[in-house]
Amino acid sequence: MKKVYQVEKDNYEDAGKASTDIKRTLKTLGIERKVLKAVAIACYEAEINIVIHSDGGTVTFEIDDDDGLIRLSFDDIGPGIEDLELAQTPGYSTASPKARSLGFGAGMGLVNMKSVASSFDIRSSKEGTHIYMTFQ
Amino acid sequence: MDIQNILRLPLQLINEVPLNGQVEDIYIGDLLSVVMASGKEGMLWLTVQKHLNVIAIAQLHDFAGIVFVQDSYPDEDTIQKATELQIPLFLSHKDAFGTAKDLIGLGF
Repeated sequence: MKKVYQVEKDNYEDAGKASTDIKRTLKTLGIERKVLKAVAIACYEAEINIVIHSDGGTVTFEIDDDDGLIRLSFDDIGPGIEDLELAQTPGYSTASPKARSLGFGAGMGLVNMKSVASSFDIRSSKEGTHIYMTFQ
Repeated sequence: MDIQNILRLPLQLINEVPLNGQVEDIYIGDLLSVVMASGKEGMLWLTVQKHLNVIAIAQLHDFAGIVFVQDSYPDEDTIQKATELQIPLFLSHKDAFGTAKDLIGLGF
């Protein structure tokens, strides 16, 4: 099964829609609670990052019919992360004042993703940021 | 604890939803990533954040409900979405610490 979701820049109202739909899908498939929670946390954080920091992008969800491996890909169209190492430091954030006023920008997004995913890979350039995570 | 019990405190139920859930624990937080990382199913969440995204977090974690403290009345679309998902919303005139003290007095 594969699903692709569009995520818009600065659309805080719809932020989290992909994550909630993916969680609902996994629940329907009877995926165990621990995995559900990990996917929900990681997906939400990555989705929010696209809203806050990028010019928009997509969330791609896949679950392998045979071994049940869950794959999440997040691809945005820039402006990219200047210093990937710094961006993965707990508490470091470049979120806008608006995002912070809404409670975002704690600097825990990438940290949270890495801590719950079975595998985590991030690449970034001025053209965009790509995050790939698996869960099992 | 049955969520109905918290109405013994000076809290206002904001939306019309059935109160048949259980509150397993209390969580206080306004930074959404921190709540996202620490939240657990059945928690009652105390926050001043009142925009629509708090509902996404409550839904993702299957929270028992949300208490908006310090009279932080939620936005209309927040109430509408919570009602659709049957997530109870409460309003407290007190701040998070005062509300937490009341909840502890109730047996948490």
